[in-house]
Amino acid sequence: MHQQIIVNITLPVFLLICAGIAPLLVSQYHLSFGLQVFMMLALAQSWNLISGMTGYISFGQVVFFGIGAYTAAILLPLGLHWLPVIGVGTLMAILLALPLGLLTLRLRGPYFAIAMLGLNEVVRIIATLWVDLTNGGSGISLSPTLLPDLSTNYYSMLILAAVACGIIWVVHGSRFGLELRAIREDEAAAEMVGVNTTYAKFVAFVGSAAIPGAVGTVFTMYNSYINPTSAFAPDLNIQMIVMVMLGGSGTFWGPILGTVLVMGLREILWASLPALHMAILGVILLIIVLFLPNGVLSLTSPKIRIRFDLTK
Amino acid sequence: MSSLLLLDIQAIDVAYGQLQVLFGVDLHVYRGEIVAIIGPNGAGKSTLIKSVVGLSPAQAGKIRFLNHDITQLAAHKVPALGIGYVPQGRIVFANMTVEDNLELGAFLIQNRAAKLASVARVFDQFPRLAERRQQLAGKLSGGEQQMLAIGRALMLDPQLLILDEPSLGLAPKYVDMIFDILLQLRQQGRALLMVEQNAARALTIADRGYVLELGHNRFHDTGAALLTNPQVRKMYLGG
Repeated sequence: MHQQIIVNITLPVFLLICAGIAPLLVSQYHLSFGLQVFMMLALAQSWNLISGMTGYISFGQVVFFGIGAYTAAILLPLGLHWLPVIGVGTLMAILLALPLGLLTLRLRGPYFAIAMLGLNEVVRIIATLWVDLTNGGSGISLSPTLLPDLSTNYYSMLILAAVACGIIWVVHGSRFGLELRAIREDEAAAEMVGVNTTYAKFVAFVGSAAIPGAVGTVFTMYNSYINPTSAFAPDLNIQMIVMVMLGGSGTFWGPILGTVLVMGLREILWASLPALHMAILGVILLIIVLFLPNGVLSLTSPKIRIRFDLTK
Repeated sequence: MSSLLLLDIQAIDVAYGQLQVLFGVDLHVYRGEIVAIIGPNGAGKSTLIKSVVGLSPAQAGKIRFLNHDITQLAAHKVPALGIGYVPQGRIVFANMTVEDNLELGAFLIQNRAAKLASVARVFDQFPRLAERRQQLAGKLSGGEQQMLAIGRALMLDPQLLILDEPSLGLAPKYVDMIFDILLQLRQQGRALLMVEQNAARALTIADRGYVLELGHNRFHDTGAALLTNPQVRKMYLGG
């Protein structure tokens, strides 16, 4: 019990403090890398909330990221301060998730996954064709004077990652988390014991949409340029899935470990073997998926798994 | 036996889209009795009990449980009223332990002590589950899984337990075990409503039985009378 407290409270706080003072100590390059790690972590945990915890695999989570990214790209040139823009981006993602959840969550298994994938494509094409609003395929480029500086964006991303992890931390140990777990195990049986499955899935879905909405706005502020392909990138969705599955889905620590592993590996390989790095990463992922279907965390002893509260 | 009417199904119609399955079906369950529904495949037996637990709502007619009109009640609201449901196919949470399965059965009980008391009560009744409390439900034998599904449905201490094909696909010794459990449950004063393909066996323990045919009520009598009814014997009991 003591060890559980150390691992699940002290360790996250310690990591958060390290991340918080990092901008004072590291180069711009490393700060930028850190921002990307937190971005992927926030996205991975948001995917974990809907797909890891309920078993509803979403290939379209990135649609909320794209909506947030475009909200920022459209609003910032109007002279709005970046802080409320993050809020509006979040709100836009939620507003999209409300009707979507009602429509798609009736679908089970692969049908939900495919519906979400199709939906992201539809929104990407709308973003390409609606030239008046989005400048079409050429994308939107923002002047650096409109945007917060790197360390501000770093802190924004850090806070979003912390919030995303916090949500998973709270949900995992809650009654709501138990409802989601029951849905993942067997939705019909969950309903039979009195879980309002429709409502629980809907709340998880809308909650999981809010985070990428906010992350998308900060991505635009960091990158200063977006187009339909970078905002609604299926590749980004695949990365979220990989990071969660790699670490251990439905857990608190799994996506954290998965994100750090993938981002770290990619950075090392990119520096040493630029031509081959994606291929090598692909092979490593293939090996892990084939031999460790429950993620890297399943390698650890049961004792450690209990200590880290990793049992699903 | 008290004659309090627990479940009152009046002239319900149920259809899946264009396909109507039940036509004005009636059925009653009184407190403390076992009621069996028998009939050939496609008669609408499972549909009838699914309409009670909210999984295939009736388009016409009325279903009452005690003083509640449950005709249109959502499935997740049924357990709280005192109706337990054991679905066909031994549906358990396969990747969770026996104990977690039971605790989920008491999902609606907020109080931790009451929940644990309920788990202890079910373990008392099924010592075999107590021995396997830390095992994953998916690793249990078919009979034990069925026992767990029944145990989970008993967590909220229901007055009426509804079972869909409780002995389907089980080894003979487990079939005996399940029927023993059903008799035990009646002794505790619970009412049981079951659909069972093993019609002769079901009618042997049932106080009353209903025979459905193509979505209509065909016969209704005591279990013993149906067992000796020549027409029922000829059609459903193999002579």
